[in-house]
Amino acid sequence: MKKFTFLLAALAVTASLHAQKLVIKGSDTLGAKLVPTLAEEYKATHPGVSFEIAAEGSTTGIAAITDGTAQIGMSSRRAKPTELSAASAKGVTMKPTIVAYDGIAVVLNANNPVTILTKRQVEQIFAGDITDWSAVGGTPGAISIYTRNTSSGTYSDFKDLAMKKRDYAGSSQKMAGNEQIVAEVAKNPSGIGYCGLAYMNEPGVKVASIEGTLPSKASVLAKKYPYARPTFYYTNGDPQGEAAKFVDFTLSDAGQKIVSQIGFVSIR
Amino acid sequence: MFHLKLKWLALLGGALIATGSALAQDSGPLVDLLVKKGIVTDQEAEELRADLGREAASGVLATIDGGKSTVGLVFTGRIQVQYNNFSGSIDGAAANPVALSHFILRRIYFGVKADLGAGWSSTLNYDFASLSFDAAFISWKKDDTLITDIGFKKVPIGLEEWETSSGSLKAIERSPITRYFVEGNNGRRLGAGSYRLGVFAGGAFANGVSYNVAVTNPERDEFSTLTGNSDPGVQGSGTAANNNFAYWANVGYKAKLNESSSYHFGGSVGFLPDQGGLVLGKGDNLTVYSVYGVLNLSSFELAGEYWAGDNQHGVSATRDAKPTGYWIQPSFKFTEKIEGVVRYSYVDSDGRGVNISDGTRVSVSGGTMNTMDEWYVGGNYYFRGNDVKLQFGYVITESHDTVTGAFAHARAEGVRSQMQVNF
Repeated sequence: MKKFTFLLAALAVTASLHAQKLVIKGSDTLGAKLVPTLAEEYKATHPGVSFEIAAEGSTTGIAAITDGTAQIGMSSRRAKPTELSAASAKGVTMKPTIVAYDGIAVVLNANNPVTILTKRQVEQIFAGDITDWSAVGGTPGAISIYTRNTSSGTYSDFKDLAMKKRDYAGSSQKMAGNEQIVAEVAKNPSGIGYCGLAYMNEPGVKVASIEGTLPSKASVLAKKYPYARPTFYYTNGDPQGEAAKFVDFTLSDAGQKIVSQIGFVSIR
Repeated sequence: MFHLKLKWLALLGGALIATGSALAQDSGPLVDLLVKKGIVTDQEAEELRADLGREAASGVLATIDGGKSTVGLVFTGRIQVQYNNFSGSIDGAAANPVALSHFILRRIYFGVKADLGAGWSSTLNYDFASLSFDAAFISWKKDDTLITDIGFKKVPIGLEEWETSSGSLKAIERSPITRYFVEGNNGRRLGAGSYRLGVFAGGAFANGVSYNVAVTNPERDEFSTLTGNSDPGVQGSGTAANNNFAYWANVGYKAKLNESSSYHFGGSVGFLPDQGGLVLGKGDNLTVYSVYGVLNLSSFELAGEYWAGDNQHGVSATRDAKPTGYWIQPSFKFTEKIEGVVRYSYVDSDGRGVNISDGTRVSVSGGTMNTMDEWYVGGNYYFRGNDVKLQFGYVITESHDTVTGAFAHARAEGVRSQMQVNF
């Protein structure tokens, strides 16, 4: 009996030594759907691996690499010079790896008669210069703007890509994630917001064409859609161990197939 | 094609490094062009951008390397320029207090933080406006739950005094009640805050609870011996009036209500042996307490704090002083750049007395009475967040009744504005 107990204990210790936990933090755009799906698929072929995924915005992902609290930082934007500087000061070499391309779709309530917007109109709406739908050919009524929160990479990417780096309108409402924005716009006939490609095909919303171009895999790859961007994994130098294997899996044919299935644009 | 690519990359890298970090940081369009021409892939471009960003960051460090173990140096600074225009009146006085209309350099901070690795760091901050240190301490961080410091820094007491940086005050200056409790003992104010030499420890837990404790020299000191000041705080030689340690503790709790709303509350206590009494050095003790809370509801914030103290023989040889007071401050961000602020503060000195200038900084002097209240109504314009901002406000201060309870009244009012840059 003692031998059996000892054997069980030894097995338990051995199993725990082999159990690998990957901590991944950052972008909600990547972390709400894509990375959890990749993780599930990865676990199917790597049963000893577990994941801790926290999707609270790109800023938190880049900070987690600098602080050493995650092996992979998800980000829907590039690291800022101040973040690279902070990382360097701590001896961290911030390495970006493009894992997918994405477009930021401008979403409207499905009942909104507006179907097309110019880049200038998008800038003016989100900056608060245009406050009524009648100014862009819609039914008269105040525009309700939904944006991501300030720790989101999509929040800053959209300012850079669509708003000439201007500030959002003071009346804009900040949401925790893409899904929350889409849900609010679906409920509000006067709503306008933005989300990643993976989140735009939901009931109750439609996607605005930007000067005649809709966000799609083709328009993003051809760099025709104006609000397109790469999305990243950030690591401290070249990823090591299980993190390296997971990055490789994400970039593999199988991983990129999932990228496409979720609604992002594959890197090849 | 391969050689052409290498040549382009070498040319780009060499040009950017040779011409300095500013160009390196502005290299985006050039890198984009290389991608568009098919000379580099998107992935190669991202690695190039990161390399150039690192070069820009590490270039400074290479020329200002510290000791052998130094892995990072961060320089910080703060400049605050104020304009104040105040006038006042004291009922029944033969002459009004001298009015004030002046620009002042309120703070000129320059600081350095050195990271020595393995949790060790050191922080220095000097205020060239007051010729005094604000910080000079050595830290060891185990993790977020335990950070220890030894040296010269602010003691952990109060929301406005300790938790709120001078660069983040929404009403430009701290409230009269905070100033009355924490600023130097002048026979009326209590001197139970600000900078002291000692040992400090604190941390924050994932569940939102935070704590800070300190054991310090009892006397407040913000003067460097470089100024020739004989105050023993920085030098550390005790006297009969300040040879017993003071003890400080603070505990707080922060939590989110939702993505854009949160609340925060806490309490502090300080026990200062021999720092009470009408005159220091008589063996009287001083104990101070603060409880506070902050509620953030998206663009709206409500903050407030209540102070109480027990000053042995703080009024006379036969009477203790138990001063109390509070401040409350609603603020609202109309846009990301524009904010409105109102603050009300009340001081009850319990017979010890409070002068207008004890409570309202850089105002008129006079009107020492038993109680005081102050209204601040103002606005803040954030050019670049808190780092570049303009603040302006109208301040009305009134003091009431003599310390023995007879009717009396004094009033001061005026404009205060401040431009601030943090870097």
